[in-house]
Amino acid sequence: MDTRKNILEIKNMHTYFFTDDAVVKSVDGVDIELKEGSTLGIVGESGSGKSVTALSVMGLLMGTTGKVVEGEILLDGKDITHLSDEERRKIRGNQISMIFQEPMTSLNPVMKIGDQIVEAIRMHQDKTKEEARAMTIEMLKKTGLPRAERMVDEYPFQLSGGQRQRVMIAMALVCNPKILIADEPTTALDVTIQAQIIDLMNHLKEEIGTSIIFITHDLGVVAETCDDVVVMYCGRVVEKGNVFDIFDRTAHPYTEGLLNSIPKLGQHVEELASIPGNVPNPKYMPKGCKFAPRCPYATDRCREEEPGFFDLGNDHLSRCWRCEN
Amino acid sequence: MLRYIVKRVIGVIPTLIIVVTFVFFFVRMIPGDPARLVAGPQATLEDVEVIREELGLNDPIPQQYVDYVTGLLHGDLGDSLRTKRPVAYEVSLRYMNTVKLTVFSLVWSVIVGVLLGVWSGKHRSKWQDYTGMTIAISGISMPSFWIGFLLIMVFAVNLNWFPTTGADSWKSFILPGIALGTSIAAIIARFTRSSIIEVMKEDYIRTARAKGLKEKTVIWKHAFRNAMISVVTVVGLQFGFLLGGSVVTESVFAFPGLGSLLVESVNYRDYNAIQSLILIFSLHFIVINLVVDILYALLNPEIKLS
Repeated sequence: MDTRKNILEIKNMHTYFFTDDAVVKSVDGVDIELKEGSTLGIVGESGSGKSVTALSVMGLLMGTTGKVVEGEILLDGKDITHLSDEERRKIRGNQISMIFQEPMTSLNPVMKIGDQIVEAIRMHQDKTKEEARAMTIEMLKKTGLPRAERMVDEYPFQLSGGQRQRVMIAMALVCNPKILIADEPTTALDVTIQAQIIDLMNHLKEEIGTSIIFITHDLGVVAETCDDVVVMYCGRVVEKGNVFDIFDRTAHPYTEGLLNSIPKLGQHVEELASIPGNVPNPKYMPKGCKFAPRCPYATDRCREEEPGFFDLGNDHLSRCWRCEN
Repeated sequence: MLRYIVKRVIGVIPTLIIVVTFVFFFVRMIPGDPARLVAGPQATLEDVEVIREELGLNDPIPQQYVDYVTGLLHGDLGDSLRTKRPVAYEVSLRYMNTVKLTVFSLVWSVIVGVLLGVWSGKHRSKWQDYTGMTIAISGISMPSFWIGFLLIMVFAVNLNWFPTTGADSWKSFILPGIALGTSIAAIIARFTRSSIIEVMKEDYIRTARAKGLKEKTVIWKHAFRNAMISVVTVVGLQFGFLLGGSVVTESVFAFPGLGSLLVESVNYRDYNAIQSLILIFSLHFIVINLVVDILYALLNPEIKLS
């Protein structure tokens, strides 16, 4: 049993988007715990609410119609949902940082790399320009970038995608945040670069002591990096547990489907396995279990009644009627 | 960068040749006889003929063209048919008036337009946006001559704060400057607004917010400079229009500038003055375009460094 304390606890969080004709419940009652010093994977298809969960925790829903309407986000035991915008801003980039999927467009094209990191440091810490610049160069070196001294004075277009993602990681970690949220940080990169970036994140996690939330749809990456896994579907958590339970004692048919979709090396297949159907339109959610329309085991009960969590021991939870017994 | 500038300057030459040629022949297609207008309605046919000969209008057109271009290459714009003085002198009397008026109009309209645009853009679809854009649409919808008359009525005639006409002191520039700049400010405001809204959707704005920057910093340091790249073009074009296109406003205020000179010259079919003025207006556009492209490069490191 893991006794480390939870650095982040999301309790029954609901994030809704208010459009002209409907309320889209992107995140509908999610409970997630991140243990200090661990890596938590959030997996699910596009539209499962994993990115919105991340943005809700960051407080980055401004400029959208989205709002956290219910629930708590406990950072180190303290609820941050009721803080003012100004107090939330001071947490961002300082205690919780985030890196994004698109390294090519996530850096400001008209600002030098160094200046973009320096301003993050000086926003949260009382440092002179020279001190911040020195910190920036040191951080860039830690991310394995060559010629960091010169790179601080270069613009994003002079860097490759992998280099830019390293810069993003340096920017996110330079203030030693307690939590790093990585939203599909390797999806847009070449496979060889992906492995390097994942190694880098694992390495820096140890060095800086940051806890990581790793959002991905790549279960291979999860197996490699995560201690715990949360599987999301339609704005809900459908299964969660430690990485061994999820992979070896898979309890939810959706997780099973995701695992089956990974092609195995050396195995000849006529057709790649996939989960039939699509994620339902949030405006027309099925009654009962949200996965029932795509589930090979679905019964009438599944279509009528939505299951709650069943505890399978060792903090392994699954939201499927088949786990009832 | 230097090579880029030299290349651009050389590229201007064909444009100038086309403008000079086009204007020369076009002006001579306008109905009306300059000699008759110079001689006056009472003059006899013989007098008109003498004047025509004097003005060199009897030479074959290709001959006139060659003379004109030769003069140009020696820096001679020719004499005004109307005043008999060199066109360059006529232009010099009024050039600075128009430049001052244009610069004043542009400075205030850029400041007001950009501020209004950013303000509307960052409060998209809120009352600030609707207020800003209502002001902007009003500014575009009101013709400058009408604003001019209105300003003259209120501030010159009734309140007597500013002169109605002329260009004698700084006060003479205020009313025409406002009339001229209103629509420009409105155009810039609308352009800045849409540009800011576009930029605010970019991933790097999300990154800036994720760093915990203040919203003020996000807008003025990250969004503004990126948004300005496209606004600079519009400002440049408007500047070009102002330097030549203030014809109507200058007429309303009887303002001694290039615009009113053009109107007088057209009335007199003053070929030399018209073609020189058009050439000057074209030059303005060319120079401004060049400056805009260089500004682009300064704003955008990708161009600056390549």
